[in-house]
Amino acid sequence: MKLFWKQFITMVCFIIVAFMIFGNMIVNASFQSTLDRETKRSIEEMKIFRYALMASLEGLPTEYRASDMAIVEITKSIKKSLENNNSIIIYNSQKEIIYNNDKNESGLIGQKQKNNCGIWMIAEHAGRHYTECFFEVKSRLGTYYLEIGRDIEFLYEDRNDLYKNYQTTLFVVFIISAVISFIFSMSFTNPIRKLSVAARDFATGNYTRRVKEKGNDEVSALIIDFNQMAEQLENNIHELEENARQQEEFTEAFSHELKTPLTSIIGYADMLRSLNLSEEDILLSSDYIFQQGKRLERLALKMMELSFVNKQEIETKSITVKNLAERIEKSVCRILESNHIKFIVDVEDSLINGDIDLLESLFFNLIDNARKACSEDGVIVLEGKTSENEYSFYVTDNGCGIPSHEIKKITEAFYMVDKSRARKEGGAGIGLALCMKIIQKHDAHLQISSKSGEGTQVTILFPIKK
Amino acid sequence: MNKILIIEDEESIATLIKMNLIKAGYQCDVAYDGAEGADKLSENHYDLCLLDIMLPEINGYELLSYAKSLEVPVMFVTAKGETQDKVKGLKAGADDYITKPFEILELLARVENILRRFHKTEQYIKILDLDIDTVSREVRKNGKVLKLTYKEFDLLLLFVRNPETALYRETIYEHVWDSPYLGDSRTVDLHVQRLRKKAGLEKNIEAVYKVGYRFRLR
Repeated sequence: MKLFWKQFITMVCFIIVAFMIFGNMIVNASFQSTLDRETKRSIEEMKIFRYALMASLEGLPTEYRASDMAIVEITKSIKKSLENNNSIIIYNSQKEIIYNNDKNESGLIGQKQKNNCGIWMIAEHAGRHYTECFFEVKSRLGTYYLEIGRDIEFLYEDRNDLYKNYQTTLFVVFIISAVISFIFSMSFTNPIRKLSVAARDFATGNYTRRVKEKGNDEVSALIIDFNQMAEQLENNIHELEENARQQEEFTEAFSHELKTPLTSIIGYADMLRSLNLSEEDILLSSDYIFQQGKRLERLALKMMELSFVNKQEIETKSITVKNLAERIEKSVCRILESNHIKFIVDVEDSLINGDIDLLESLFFNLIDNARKACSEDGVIVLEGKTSENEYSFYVTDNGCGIPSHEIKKITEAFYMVDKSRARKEGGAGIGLALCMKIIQKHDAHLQISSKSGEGTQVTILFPIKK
Repeated sequence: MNKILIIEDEESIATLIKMNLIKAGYQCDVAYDGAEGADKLSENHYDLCLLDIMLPEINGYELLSYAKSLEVPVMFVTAKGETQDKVKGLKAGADDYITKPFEILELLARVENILRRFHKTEQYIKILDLDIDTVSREVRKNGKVLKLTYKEFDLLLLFVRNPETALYRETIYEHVWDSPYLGDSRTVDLHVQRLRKKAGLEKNIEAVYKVGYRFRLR
């Protein structure tokens, strides 16, 4: 059974049962108290009657010989003066009925009870209730017995009316309680239902699904937990998707980079072996094979370097920036000189943590990229500045720059802004991807700002650990 | 003479294709990026366009629809070798799709095939003293009809279309019999012997030591 129905039915049942028990108790208690009151009244009336009768009998002249008829007459007159509808039965000393104004009755008190005088009881006859009192009247004239019945059916009728009214009330209460329970159960199970729908939706792949929460009960706490879980899962999934996408792009780009030189090598080699080429064509073909082979070699070396950096746990040592700058200068000066590019180094000395070989490779790649962007007579500046908790390197060139919409993508492996130019300069498109890896390993950050046609500035921020 | 445009940003591959197409008797133009390719397409009339997909400026798919609007047949020559890439390329309206790295002979065969489909090849080939009708598959030598089998005719066409080229037995087998070569050189040798005899090409189809055969025009 659903929680909603469980709660709904429990509440309605509880309210109805409680009302029934409570109502019954009230009706019965009020009935009981009126019954007591009426009984007392019957007894009082009986007593009054008895006194009146006894007084009348006493008041008779002494010579008066009473007959049963006289008693009956006196009783009748008393009854008339008392103005009530009580039924009266008079017995003589032998307990024989001498008067009965209750047309169909011969008294409601059984024979046995007629031995006890002054008793009363509630009797039922022909669907009506009566209080019956039986007592003895002793006088000079002899002993008589009197039975007075009083109709108290109105009490029972009142009670039944009350029950009927109460049933109507109960029905109304049932309707109201059902409505209230329904609304309450709804408001209680609604968040759970919403949560369940959201969870199902989430399971089918709608990872942005969240549930609105309000209030601060357990269900809201559950919703908050659910939302947090969803958030976490969504982030993880996005990360996985992003990783998968990058992996896929990497593989695609890598296979492209591999297939292109292979096509040339296979094609020219095939020509060499099957065609009678002229001297000039043989030279051209073998030169292409050589160039493309070299390109494959560069690709392989860079890939090895990249996977090496990927796998290796770096050993950080305290190194001086001056030492690093000297090594960088030494490694780039030849290639820059042959391209007629000016290289200026201006670094503040400081201590940073890192692997000096990887850092040298990082700056070599960055400066080599700057070289590829520069035309002849270009200038590349390596600056270093220290601040409180960071050491910043700036590699600035006055080359061709990077179009702003390309900046985001240039750190992806195999991405080349100008393919033909990059190839000519001997690039494989892995340099910056390699740099990114090295930067990540050092917990450093990379910023690139560039203006097309004016140059590029690459900033690397190293944290200084204390 | 059929005119072919090569749009390929890799200079080495563009030159490779161009050299081979010229040797096979086509006229060739090369464009090194998408924009240049679009210019050349609009300026000249081409019988076929060999198109790379990943191009600077304008990519291959865009150029494809442009070439289609000019009713130039297009063949993709690309490193994108996944089935979904091929399906995408062919669905976009390319007439053929060849992936890098490819063999030159295959490229030539596919070029030939597309040109034939668009009725841009010559139906009649006249070479030496042979008249070949590629449609009715009839060969006449000095006006006399030669009785060639199906395979012998295909073999003759392969030689005629690749003159002065050393054809490897492997290549011959794969092109004429259209199934992978498993080292059964006798089938090829036997058919070449029969063709030589029937067509009187004993001097022109020469054996190349350890390789296969070469069709000489002299």
